[in-house]
Amino acid sequence: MNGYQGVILRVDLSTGSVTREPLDPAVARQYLGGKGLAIKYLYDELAEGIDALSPDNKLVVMNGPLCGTAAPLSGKLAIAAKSPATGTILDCSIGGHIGAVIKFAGYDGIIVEGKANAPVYLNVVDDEIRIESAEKYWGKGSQEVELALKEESGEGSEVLAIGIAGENLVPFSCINTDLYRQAGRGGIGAVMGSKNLKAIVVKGSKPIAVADKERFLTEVNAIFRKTVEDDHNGWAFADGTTGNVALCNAAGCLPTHNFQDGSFKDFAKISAEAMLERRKHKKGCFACALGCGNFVKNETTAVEGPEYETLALTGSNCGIADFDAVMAFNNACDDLGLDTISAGNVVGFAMEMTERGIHDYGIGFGNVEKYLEMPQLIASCSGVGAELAKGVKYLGEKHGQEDCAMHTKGLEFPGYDPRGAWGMSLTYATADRGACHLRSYTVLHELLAGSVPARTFEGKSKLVADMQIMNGAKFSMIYCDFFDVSYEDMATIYNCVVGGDEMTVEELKTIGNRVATLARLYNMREGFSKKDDTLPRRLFKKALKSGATKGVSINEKEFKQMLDSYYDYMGWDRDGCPGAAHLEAVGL
Amino acid sequence: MRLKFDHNKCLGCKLCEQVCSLKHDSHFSAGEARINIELAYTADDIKVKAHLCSLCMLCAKKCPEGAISKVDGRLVVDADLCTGCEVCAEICPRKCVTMRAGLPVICDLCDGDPECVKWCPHSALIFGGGVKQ
Repeated sequence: MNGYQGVILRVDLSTGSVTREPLDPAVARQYLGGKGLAIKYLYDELAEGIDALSPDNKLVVMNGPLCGTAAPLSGKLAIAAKSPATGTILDCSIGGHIGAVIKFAGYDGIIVEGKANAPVYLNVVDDEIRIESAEKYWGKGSQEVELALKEESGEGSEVLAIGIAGENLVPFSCINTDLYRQAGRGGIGAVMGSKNLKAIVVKGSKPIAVADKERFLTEVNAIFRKTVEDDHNGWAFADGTTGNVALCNAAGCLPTHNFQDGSFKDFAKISAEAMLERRKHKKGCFACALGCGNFVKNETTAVEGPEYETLALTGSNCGIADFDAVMAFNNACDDLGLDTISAGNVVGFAMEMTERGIHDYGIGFGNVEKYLEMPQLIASCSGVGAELAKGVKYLGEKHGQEDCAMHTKGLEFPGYDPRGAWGMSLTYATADRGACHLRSYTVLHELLAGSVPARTFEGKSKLVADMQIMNGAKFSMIYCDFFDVSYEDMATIYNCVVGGDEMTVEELKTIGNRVATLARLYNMREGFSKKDDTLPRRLFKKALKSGATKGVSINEKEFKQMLDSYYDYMGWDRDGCPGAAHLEAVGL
Repeated sequence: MRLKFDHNKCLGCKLCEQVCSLKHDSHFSAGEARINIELAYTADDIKVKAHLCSLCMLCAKKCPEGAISKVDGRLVVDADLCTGCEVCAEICPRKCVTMRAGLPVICDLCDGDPECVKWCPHSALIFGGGVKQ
């Protein structure tokens, strides 16, 4: 199998059994890899209604047919499970170099089952697999553990590790690699922690076969050069995602004070300029052509980031106008293993509750000193952190403040207030893992490219459906979200690497739809339906207070019409259920 | 004409290594490339390691058999003369000569059109430097 290694590694931590299974080429063709293949395994192997933190859940790690090759922006890895935060299907995408190294070790994926009876880590060196004691690493930060394991395993090794948040089963704990990169959302770190699995360390030396070397060196290089030389991609190497702070602030889309406002008067203090003053080096993932990573340093903190999402949620959303404080919060979250998006939401919610006198969490907007204490308290579930660690959905229900608990299906909101980019309202409401911006990042068209008006519903249902279907294929291939790749180029690259029967644009669209629909089927099996494709009522009831979106709220009736229209474009019925004809059309 | 490297423009993406493997060995590989560039995080910093041939010619000068020579500006290994003594790999100051199947593997600048340069996203690698980096 060109591109693939044709092998899935399956490890049962309950029994200690390790097996190498062949990857069925027909299934690989139907689901590619990454998100698609991970969801396929989970749909087939997880029983309905399991506890996401029980040994019944599985941690599925999948690279894709291009990972490890020089296909641009293909060095990503999907990590998937049933989400402990939402109860939905959950797939995360992590960068760094670990995906490629898993391929070099000879695997298209790793499936971890069961639960070890004491802390362990998985040590993979080509065909040699060992489950080793992690007693000495338990309770340690993910960065310290990664550096220690790399030292032990030697040059070329890469690590996936959790911090103490994952050990403590925090439902917004993440998995780290390359010190500062995460499989961030939905509590994927807690799934690893629930298995007593502290880390996976991998080293590999196997080659990856390619179907057509000469075509790759000419045709894929042409796609690579086009991508690098496109001015629209210049943002990545220039400022990375930090450029979005000023842009979203101007558009009235920057979450501020727990989504009470869409612009932040001190936005400049957490903007790209502040990052550039502290930047020491650029950094990219394996096979990256763009290079969004910014390694920054000040007197006390070194960190890659903070990314836009972190600046928005843990910066303006918490009223923090201090770049150094956000850096410190960011680095603490990385090491402790907390998702900064959800952590920023939780802290922002606590600040609002305190200021409105609903419950005193001892922290108000802009209180840097208390803010910097939060990551440790949350990750260790101590003090106020014990309650905050349960997430915004829980907190909203507890205080009868569901309207301002900013989540969908239990996943906290990313850094784009939908009142400033209306397509994002549908994106959050319908994303398979709860409020996620990446499944259909309409902001790209609404604000970054400016190719469609931001504050209208017109055309957004089709835009969201088209993007979710395309990402079904793109996240399975598995490409970085930042690769603005066409179906045509995806097909060309696949054909150069994998070969065999010609991959066409039409087949890729069907694969994308199949993956999106299978995720929907998984969630339906868990009891999710149209009623869950919704938004916190703050967006419908409260208008933003200042800036470009002053006076703007989401019209609920029009939102519901857009939702119906979205189902039509997805080929699902008006209850959001894929019917028999659709299932047949996408080969399910 | 030699390869020149500017670490400030490097992402550590490894595209240079991957296309080097593909060009010379017809597959992608983790450790067979004739160039090795790595950006690795330490506890509080970033470390750059760059192993690429600067055409210093030390390997050719020290080869006891005279098996390495420069032809048209590129290093060429004469497999008939080479005895696999590994002096070249040991002496290389940039650690960019490796041994495989008893023969040295050295950058040949892809016969004057280095593939790595064509895939370097932000021109951290360029070809044409006349001055030692």
